[in-house]
Amino acid sequence: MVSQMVPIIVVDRDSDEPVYAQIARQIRAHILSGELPPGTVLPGVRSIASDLGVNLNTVARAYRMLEDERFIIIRDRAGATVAAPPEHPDDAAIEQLSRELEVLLARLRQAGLTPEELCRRIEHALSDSGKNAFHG
Amino acid sequence: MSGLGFFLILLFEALVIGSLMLLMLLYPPIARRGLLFGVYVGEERWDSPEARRIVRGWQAAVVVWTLASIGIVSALFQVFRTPFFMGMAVLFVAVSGMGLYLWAYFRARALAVPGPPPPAVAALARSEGTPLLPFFILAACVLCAVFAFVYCAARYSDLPARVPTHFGPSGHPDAWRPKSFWTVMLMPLMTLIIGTGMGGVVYFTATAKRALRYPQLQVSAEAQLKFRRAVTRFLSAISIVVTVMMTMISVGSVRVGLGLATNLSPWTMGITVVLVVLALGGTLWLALHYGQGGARLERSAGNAPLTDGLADNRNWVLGVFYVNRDDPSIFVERRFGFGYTINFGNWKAVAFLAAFIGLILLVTVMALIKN
Repeated sequence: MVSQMVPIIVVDRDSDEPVYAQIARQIRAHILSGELPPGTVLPGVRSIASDLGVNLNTVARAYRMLEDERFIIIRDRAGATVAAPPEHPDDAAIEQLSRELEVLLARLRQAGLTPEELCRRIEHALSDSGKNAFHG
Repeated sequence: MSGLGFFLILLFEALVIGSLMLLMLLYPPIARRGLLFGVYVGEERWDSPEARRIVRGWQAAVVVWTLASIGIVSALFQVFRTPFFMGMAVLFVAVSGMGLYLWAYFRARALAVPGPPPPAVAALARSEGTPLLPFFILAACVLCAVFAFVYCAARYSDLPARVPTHFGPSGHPDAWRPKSFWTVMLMPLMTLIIGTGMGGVVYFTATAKRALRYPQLQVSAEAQLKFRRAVTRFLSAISIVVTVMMTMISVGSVRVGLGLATNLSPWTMGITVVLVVLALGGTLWLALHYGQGGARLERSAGNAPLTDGLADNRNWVLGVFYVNRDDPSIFVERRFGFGYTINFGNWKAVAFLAAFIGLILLVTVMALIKN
């Protein structure tokens, strides 16, 4: 049964963004907003592919991407479940992501974003969807 | 053919044609909002003056088609009175009915939604799982068919040189042929193929793709679920009745051949009537109660746009053939009419259909050649 509160994915096949990226982006956003708390079992690849009318590999690619990013854990029999953030900081991962953040910040500056606007956007993101991700 | 047989066949034809007419007349009022004769025209255009004009034209044509069909079928029977013309009459009704649909389809095409299709939507909730009913039905059908096959094979050597191959409406044999593998085993083989195939149809229906509306996801999903369950139960009942009927005919034929009975059991004739009543009555009841894909349960949610499963005109050929190579779904909801159809873009679905029809044709042709 689908409840109104159940998070959904909306895919536009005519969009410039690849379908697997649309799926991954929306699941990631639902996890960050707390709509998909840790431990939530996600639907199977076939079920989502059938509902969306897209290839099985497209959904599997989105799931693999989220697994690589440590948002979900894929087990053969249990399917995909939302992963909890690690209890202790993963220094290696933080180091890697920090380097990516530096590149991103530089690119945002080159795109014309002011430091004030950047701070405002980060605060907005944290107060909105990101808050749950950091405070559980 | 006897007078009783002639009357029964005519009555049956009139019943089938009458029920078809009723369903075709009911079609626009029970259709899913947004779908007009196999074309997604959008929820707003669906009851526009142009759409209503097409519907009125369809309803008038259906009445003329029904009267013409009954007249032509009756005339064919009066003149020829042979079973061959029963098949010809059914063919005429089917072909002319398809022509009528295509006429309405091409008119509706002018109202098709221009531009990109609506987005596709999936809920991130675990599905309710595959129900057990289809597995029970498949097992029951196969067991029934295997019983018929084993019984007929076990009694084969005891059968006389000539065996009954056809029975009249009273259940008495009216045609006999020399005993051979195909005259004795044709019916049990058909029971096995049709029983297994119908069990498969029940399974695929129970797991068919959902065509949802967005943003009214909850109401449309519940309507879809109720409709799918009802169609699954209906097909389960039909599958069991058909398989039991064919098993009774298989076993009854051998018993008559062995001299253990003079005619088929009256229960065999009774179950045939049950099948006709169940198939026609059940379809009409489902149509009136649920509407196309549960449309009558959607109420105000029916104003929300359909998502791409049914709404993407690019995936539908002539409004009846769903062809989407990417979609792993095997069964999908019909765009025109009632129930489910296969995804012709999925090789598993095509293989299932080809195996089902191919085996029936193969067995029939082999029986004709060998006899």
